[in-house]
Amino acid sequence: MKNGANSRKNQKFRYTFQAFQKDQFWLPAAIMALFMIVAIFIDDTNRFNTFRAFLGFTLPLISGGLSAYAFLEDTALELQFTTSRSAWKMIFERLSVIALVVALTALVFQAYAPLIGVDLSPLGGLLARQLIWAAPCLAMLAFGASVSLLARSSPGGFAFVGGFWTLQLFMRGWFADSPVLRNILLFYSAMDPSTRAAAVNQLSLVWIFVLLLLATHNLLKKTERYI
Amino acid sequence: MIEIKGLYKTYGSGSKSVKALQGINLSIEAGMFGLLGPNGAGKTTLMRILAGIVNPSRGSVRVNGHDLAVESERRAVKSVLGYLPQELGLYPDLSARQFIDYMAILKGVDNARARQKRVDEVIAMVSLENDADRPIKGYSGGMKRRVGIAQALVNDPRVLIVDEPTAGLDPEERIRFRNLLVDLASDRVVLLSTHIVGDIGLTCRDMAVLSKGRICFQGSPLDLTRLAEGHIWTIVSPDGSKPDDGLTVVSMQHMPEGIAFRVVGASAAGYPQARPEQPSLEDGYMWLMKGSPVQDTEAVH
Repeated sequence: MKNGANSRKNQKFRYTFQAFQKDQFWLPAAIMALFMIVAIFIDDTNRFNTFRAFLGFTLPLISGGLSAYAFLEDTALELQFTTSRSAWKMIFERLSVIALVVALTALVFQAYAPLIGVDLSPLGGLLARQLIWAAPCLAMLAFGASVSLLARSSPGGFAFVGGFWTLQLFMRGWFADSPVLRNILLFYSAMDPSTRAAAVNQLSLVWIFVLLLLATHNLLKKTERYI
Repeated sequence: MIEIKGLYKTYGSGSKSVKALQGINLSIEAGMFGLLGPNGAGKTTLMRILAGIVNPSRGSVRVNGHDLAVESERRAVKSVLGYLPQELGLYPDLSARQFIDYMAILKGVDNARARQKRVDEVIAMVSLENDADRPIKGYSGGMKRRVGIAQALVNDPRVLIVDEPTAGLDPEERIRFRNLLVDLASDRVVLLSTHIVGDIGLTCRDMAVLSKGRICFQGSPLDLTRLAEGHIWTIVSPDGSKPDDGLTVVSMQHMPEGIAFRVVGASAAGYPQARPEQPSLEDGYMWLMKGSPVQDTEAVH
């Protein structure tokens, strides 16, 4: 019985993955490949920063961008809405695929570091280092999903994601200086790793993820907005 | 099994609002029920409300005793529902078998062996056995429609809602599909929405006509046909000029003696050569759409 349920879940995950438009998965791979190439040709001093930039800055943008396209680009959305499963299940199915792709990208990129002689320990220990990309990626995952549903448009959602990310990128110093606003700065723990403030920032981003996930759920339940 | 009372649906608000449904009352029992109406009449909105993906603005809908306004009951309805939307979207990279299997999983058909058996059954029902393992992106329009029909049937639904199901099917497929629907309707509700009058006449025991968001007729196809009795003529025009005087041309045919116009209207007194004809269902529909005096359910029954 348990095997049957597991096989159904595996099959469902496989179909969900196949139902995504494939270019959504080429994007993170292509950007990662670009950073890998840049890291080879850049001087030793900046090589570490290339890794920090990809993990702490670029991956959250990729995460938000992919999730902005997670629901409304589904060609069989109307059929999906007629099934009896809950909106939570649908959210979990879609976002877990993206989270998996982002996580794999982050892990592959980190595995590449020692191959070209980059020491990532300034970003913290093995687990602490994962939080530098995971916390902002989770926040952006829910942000991309919720704003695209709010805007009833994947490109519209992506524009919100890109705008928010760009704003934070250019004003990161201003955000980081504020004891309150630094908690919503996506890049804070990449800028100032292994500090108490970074831990608080990561916790805050996880809370934002939870709140935006609730917003995504409420929006997705209003099915008639999207068909 | 489907009870609709005082159903209204308005899209948008203020001056830009669109009244899609305006006070629908319908009672649909097991069997084949046809919903007919021109484009924009509100058929798809009604289908989507019944499928639980659009919320009514006012009124109540009960399916198998479950109130669609209550979230948990709506999910119960969805678990016994088969739905084929008018604009069918599929996943092009999946094969038909994978797509139908995926939909079966989403619909809660948990047992892998039973699911596989059922997927094979519905693939056979729509005659896709030889192509079921090819990616859908290589399918013709008719084949995609058949995949849509198969996915609607995969959970053996008690309520089957099909919106313009025969669009894109060739004549042979259309006949096969019509027969399949009639067969399925023996022990469940099958709601067929279409603007193809012939499909309704050949399959449905009961039907309704929706126009501008209102039910303007409910009864049997024979009742609708009878509405036009005494209002159908054939007028042969030697010079080919179209009959006027409030008559609507239903069809025309070139003959050796001129053009024969089949017309519907209140009176053909202006045409002495007009020959009265027995009405067809299409004539009844045309007469109704022209604004026949009989416009509501009570008047028909």
